Amino acid sequence: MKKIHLLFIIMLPFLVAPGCSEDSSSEVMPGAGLGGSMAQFTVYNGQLYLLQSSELRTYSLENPAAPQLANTQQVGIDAETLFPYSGNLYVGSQGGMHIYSLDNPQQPQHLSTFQHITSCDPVVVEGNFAYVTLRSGSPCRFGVNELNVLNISDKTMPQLISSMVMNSPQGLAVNNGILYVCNAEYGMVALDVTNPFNIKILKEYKDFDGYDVIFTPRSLMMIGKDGLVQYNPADPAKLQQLSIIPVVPVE
Amino acid sequence: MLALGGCIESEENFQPTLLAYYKPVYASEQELFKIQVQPVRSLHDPGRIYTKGTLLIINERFKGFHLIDNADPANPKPLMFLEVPGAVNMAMQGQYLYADNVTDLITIDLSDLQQIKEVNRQKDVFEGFKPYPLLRDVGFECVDKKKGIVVGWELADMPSGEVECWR
Repeated sequence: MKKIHLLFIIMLPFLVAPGCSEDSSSEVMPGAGLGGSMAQFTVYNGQLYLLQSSELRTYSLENPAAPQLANTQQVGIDAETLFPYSGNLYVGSQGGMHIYSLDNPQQPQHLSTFQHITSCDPVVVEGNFAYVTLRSGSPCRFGVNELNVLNISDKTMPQLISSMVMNSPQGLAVNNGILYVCNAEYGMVALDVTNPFNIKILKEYKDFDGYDVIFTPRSLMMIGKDGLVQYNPADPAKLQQLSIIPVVPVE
Repeated sequence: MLALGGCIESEENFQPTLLAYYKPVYASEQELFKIQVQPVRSLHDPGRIYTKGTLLIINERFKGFHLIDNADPANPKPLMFLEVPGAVNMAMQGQYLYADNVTDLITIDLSDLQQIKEVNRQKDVFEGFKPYPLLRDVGFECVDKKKGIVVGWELADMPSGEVECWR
């Protein structure tokens, strides 16, 4: 009896809990989940967007059991990451950041490109600001290592307003004015970006390698070469480690 | 940029300082498009992460997905490993997981974790893998076609001797 109950407890919340779902249709298990800033697949507003080589592809999820190709367009050979936010799709690429309008969800429309030095660059957005990390090193060996903050209140004209030198910036996440930036072997840094013109370092967390990070109110999840680390995000200046699932080297 | 693939053995080409060493992940032709539920296994070369509700998914680069019950982030419980050759990307809508399986876009129904089912497969959406890692300034174990089809590249220890293949 106990076992059966346990099974229900395990199974039910997975798919029923709203989590970070974006739509609230009457499906049994509605909505999309949440990926990190390095994502090349993203579900937003009933569509699956994905990057394949130089293309941005849009699949309709009208029948979510059978995605249907709705649109294909060129975004450049170097596009690497997708981040949907508030009706727009932000595409990180080695040459710059592109903004697409999703007013017509099945036909992303290019609004602008913020060009920068060739570099790898995931992007996250909160409010009127986009946060882009540029990193050098293979395969982006010509790049620089920095965080750029862009004012995107005009989506057709993103403007650089500040930047900060980083060690080896990778994936990032932003929530409520706090930006978490992974820095590979240098760990992760929590930044106060409530004033995006004047970013402040809150604290560096150097214990674990950081590749990408997802913020949820229950847990700040960071993945890297050391494994998956979860922190209680209540106090970004003093993150409490909750657990780790370590990487175990294979013989 | 991608033209410089494969083994570069000419002495005129100066071997750069190699930042890392990779070895191919092989799959047999029969295994290539087979999605299988496997017992829990350790993280080895984790890639992207994804979360929906209390489910946490960690990609094992080019091999599949660790499914984890993250109802209590202080005590995450690995549930199983979902083997998807070549997989590095994922996203979910409702009960459905979308992933890349080498060249194919697949849809997996996770509504019953005891009975995970592939419900859709679209062939040849993706290009598949090159016989060399896409990174630059890295060494790698030369591809041996007898071992199967390359579905990805994983980090390995730099050999102590000479590195035969690099780019």
